[in-house]
Amino acid sequence: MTHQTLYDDAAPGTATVLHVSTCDACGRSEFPRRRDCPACGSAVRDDRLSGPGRLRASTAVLAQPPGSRVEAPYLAGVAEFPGGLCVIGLLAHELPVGARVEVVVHEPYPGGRTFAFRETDLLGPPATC
Amino acid sequence: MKDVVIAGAGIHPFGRFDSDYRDMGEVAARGALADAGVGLSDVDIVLVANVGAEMAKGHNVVERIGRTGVPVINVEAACASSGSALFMAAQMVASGAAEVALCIGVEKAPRGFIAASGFEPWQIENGLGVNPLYFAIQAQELIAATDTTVEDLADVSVKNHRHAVHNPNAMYRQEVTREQVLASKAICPPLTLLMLCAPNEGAAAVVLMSRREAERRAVADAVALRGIGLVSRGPDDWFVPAASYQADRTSLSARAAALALDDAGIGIDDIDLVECQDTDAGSELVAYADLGLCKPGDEASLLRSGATALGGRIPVNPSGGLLSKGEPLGASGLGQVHELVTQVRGRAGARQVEGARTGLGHVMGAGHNSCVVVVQR
Repeated sequence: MTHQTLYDDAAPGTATVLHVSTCDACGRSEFPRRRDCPACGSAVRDDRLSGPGRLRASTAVLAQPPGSRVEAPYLAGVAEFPGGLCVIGLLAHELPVGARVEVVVHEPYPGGRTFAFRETDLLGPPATC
Repeated sequence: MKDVVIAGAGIHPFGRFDSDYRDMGEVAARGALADAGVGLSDVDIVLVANVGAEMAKGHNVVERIGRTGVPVINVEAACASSGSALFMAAQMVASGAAEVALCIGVEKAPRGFIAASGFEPWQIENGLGVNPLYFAIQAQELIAATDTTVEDLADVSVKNHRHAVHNPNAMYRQEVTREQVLASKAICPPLTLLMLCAPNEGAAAVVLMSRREAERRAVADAVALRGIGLVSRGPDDWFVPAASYQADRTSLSARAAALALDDAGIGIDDIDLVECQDTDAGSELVAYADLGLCKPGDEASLLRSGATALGGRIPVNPSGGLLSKGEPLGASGLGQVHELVTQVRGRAGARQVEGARTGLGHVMGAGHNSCVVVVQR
């Protein structure tokens, strides 16, 4: 894997999908994508995770970390998706634990691109917790 | 673990010093050798745990003591480095490959956030490559899943700082109040500065021997290394630096503890004191359940009952823990073992756990490692 894509790129603010791999044998999804399942060794298929998910943790980074191009303070959290995969990411805006979230293309610093989570009204399959 | 003993233990205090890592490693190693009543010429193999120094760091420490020609092996597994070195040394002595092994942990870590924790470039650039974020997520999940409150997190720090007042090897030896902990600088909510350990400097060392060798040398005050368990990431574990995890995740610490207790042939109820990886206040509470000190969900109750404070049923971190000692990454695990040995020998002074006979040490490191060790007088 020479170039790893994490999500479908688009203009900041556009809803997007995370690039994950899902194991047909054990059912676990992995982010970022893997060549085969790290849990059971079976073959995986490329999958796209759009959610909605449920915000499982909501915090912030208030002191500047080494190497980060995002300037503290900024928001971060964990989205849990149907199937049980929990992904750590930036939050596009302040969100409480339990919020229903989608994945969005985000500009975390001028010219930067990554994914983030934001609140959505979209109904999706209920998350597992 | 059959017939392996800790014949001697040494330490260089944890804190901030002008000295080089070589100097600190030398102090701890010479202390352990003197405590065991042996010289470097009696040692069959040296294992040196360190995370951040340079190439051949262990060799550079040993060079300060002598040139005996025996193998020196450097071991790195983040915060579980010295647990990993101890595991290898113990296996070598247990197998008969070595009669006497010297195990040194040493670190001179820079101030502030730990860099190079194994995060991928996209995580680092985008502000996700920062260890306290992970601990904050863990603490939030604990608060969401149990009756744990932010005040409980603060009280872990209060407890450990109170213990450290009596530990001359700790960096912070002042008591703190719950209000001070809560009012200290917010780093990653709910964690404040005083709920997080500071990466710092220090060293610790032990001399392991086969029981036969210790008896032949008439080593005084040998402590049995009764059990040790070392694990790395399994399918559903999560720790720094993994970007994702399964909702029903499992615990490396619990597996390491089960292996160590099984190796020792005892149960958690036989343990008199615990030194655990309190990288942050939440991690200590999580460890309560992982190590089997309480059921999941009862972490805060156990803390509030006073059971884990000095004078309680099962004191946790009587040394003051990493929250008070600071964390010299490569030395922290052997620092715990030094404390356990001091305690079970009854030499811990004002922080002595009364009647301590059996102690358990627990470390957990980035890249997904955990080591649990059981020692017994």
